[in-house]
Amino acid sequence: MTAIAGTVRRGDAIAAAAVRMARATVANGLIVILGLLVSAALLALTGADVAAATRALVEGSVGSPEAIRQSLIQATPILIAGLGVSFALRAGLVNIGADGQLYMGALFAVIVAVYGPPLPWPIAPVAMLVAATVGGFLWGALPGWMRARLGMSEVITTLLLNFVAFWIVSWAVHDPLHDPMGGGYPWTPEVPAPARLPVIRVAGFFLPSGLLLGLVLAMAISFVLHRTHFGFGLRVIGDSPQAARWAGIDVSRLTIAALAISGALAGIAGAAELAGNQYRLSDFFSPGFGFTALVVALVGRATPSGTVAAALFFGALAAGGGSMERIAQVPASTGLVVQGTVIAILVASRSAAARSFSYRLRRRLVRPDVGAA
Amino acid sequence: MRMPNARLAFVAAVSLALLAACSGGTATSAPTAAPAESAAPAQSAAPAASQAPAESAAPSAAALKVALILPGPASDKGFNQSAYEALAELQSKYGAETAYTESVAPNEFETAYRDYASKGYNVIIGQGFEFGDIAAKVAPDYPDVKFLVTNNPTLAAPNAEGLQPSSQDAAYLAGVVAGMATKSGKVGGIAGQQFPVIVAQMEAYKLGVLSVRPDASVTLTYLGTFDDVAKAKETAQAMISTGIDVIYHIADAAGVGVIQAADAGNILVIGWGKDQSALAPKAVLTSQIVDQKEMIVEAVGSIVDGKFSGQPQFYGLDTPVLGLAPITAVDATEAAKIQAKVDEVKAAILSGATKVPFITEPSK
Repeated sequence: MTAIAGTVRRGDAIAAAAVRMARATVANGLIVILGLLVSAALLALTGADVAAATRALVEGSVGSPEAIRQSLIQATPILIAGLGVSFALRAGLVNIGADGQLYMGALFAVIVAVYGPPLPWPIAPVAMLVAATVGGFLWGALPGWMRARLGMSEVITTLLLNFVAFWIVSWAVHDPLHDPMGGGYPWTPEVPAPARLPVIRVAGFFLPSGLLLGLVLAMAISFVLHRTHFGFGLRVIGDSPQAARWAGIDVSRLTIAALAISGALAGIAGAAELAGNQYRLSDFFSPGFGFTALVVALVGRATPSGTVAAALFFGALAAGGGSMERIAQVPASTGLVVQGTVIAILVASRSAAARSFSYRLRRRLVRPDVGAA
Repeated sequence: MRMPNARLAFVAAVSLALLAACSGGTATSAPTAAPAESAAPAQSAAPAASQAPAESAAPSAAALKVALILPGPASDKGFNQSAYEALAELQSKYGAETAYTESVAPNEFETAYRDYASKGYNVIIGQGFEFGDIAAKVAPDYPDVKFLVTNNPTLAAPNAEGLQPSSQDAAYLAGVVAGMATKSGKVGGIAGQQFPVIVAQMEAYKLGVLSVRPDASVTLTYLGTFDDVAKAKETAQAMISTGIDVIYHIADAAGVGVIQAADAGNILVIGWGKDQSALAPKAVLTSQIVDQKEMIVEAVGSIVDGKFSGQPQFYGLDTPVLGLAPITAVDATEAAKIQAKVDEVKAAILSGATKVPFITEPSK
């Protein structure tokens, strides 16, 4: 791709990129619609009122400024953590530990916000985010170091460190950090008002500032990946670690850095959720944000723009799916069924089998003589 | 460049085929759906008179629409299910239109509240202490909606209030029963999480045991879960192996494990929530009744009667919310003896002669 790009004029390259993006958008849109149709068929099989469910899904996700606000709130943690997972994926590293890194980020953030000195508004959320970055960074650097220096698979270590992080947080909210005014309920005191991330009102719409932070981070990551030596090195490692080593790239150092930054982003996601939605850290803080983030990164093909689009979609699906349950009274798991169906179709459409099938189909349609044999 | 094109064609073809298949289905079902929807507005006229005049601006406020938000599954045979069952009674008693949502995680609390409030539900119930924060935060944005949070002794706002059964009183009675029934002088208690209202009941149970059997040893354990049946069973088996012969549980769905272990180990068990004797007639000594359903029905009833106070409401042994199921699984004379003592202690609690403390930190 890069070789071709060098030989064509800049205008052509931009046009080609635009066409590619438009195609990807249409293809992904069709996959989503197909997923929704299959889900509707499944719903109809359970005897649910499909029309009412669909109406609730749409109204609950994009039907009103309030619904959009809830979709964006749901999208925020999975967007930022999804960017983290994407970042590691670009270096060929599978970070299954975003949930644990998110918990560690939230833990560091809550310690600063609740137990640190009281800070005024713009400084307090920044301090929280910095603390969360440190927490997530360390929790990501650890498996990075184990991978680079000890040769341990990051798939295993990041997965297992989820449990370590979870139980550290669980202990913290039950014992040293638990809210004395909550009378023993296992959660921390609320993050004080000046440390919270506000919801910004623009032209009648509500924009959670955590989501805006996510969009800024997406642009920053895009810049790092495509406009810096560091990002180039990461992408080379992702394509071929062997080639990277021959090219004189310090693979160990970049591996540690990639997972640490991946963890830092997941940590920021934890702080954004804490300061923007829940305000308290508990041991049921994350309903699996880190795993949804993995899905978001895979669906978004590990690109920042794809991750943004996928996170917004899954956020809307979470809010709309919830509304489907709340208002249309379809079973609780319906949102998950829709999500799973979309993912399954997406993965299937990208599989080698599907590509080969569609290739043969196309050849048969375009040149019947070739396919006929 | 050829590949995406081919894939696109493939996906488009399949989705078109499915679209065709599905649109056939929806076309036939549409006529049946339409009349059902148009019938809905007709029922709004009746209870208009009982509404407070201050809210008269919105005609839709006349119809009672109740939404319930549950932290766990509606079919848990305990805490969540009993609240869920209130909805059916609200439908028949007040003609309420109801909706519920189950297994809601904290990150969706606010989403759920705002979704219901903006869809015209005028009573929104959060089942459990943890909904108090969010109710207090959301309530000012929806002044025409009443927010109820069960098992929360502190929530107070112009349009939000906590509902709190004085469960420690019933737990104390359960302790009296356990203290009288034990042969070995060793009794146990197994609870889910160390929530304040749970700890208060465990400690009240212990005080109840010691009030009739001062030399008894009382072992209290917290599982850290309300739904791990296997863990609850193992914990109960471990207790039985130390000679404990009466176990009290506040473990909700996981409590089934405690009852199974007691049944298999031939000891006695005290249920929680509803009368659980049907689960193991030979083992269930009694059950502490904490009827979330009655509590919700009473609270919504007072809203319908215009008696909403905005202050926490407490429900004691004199209400149908709280009590003790009949004594079973022991012979008739012993059952009568225990029941007499229970009635005596209950009268003392109601008269104020015995005061059961609300202890929120577990004793060591």
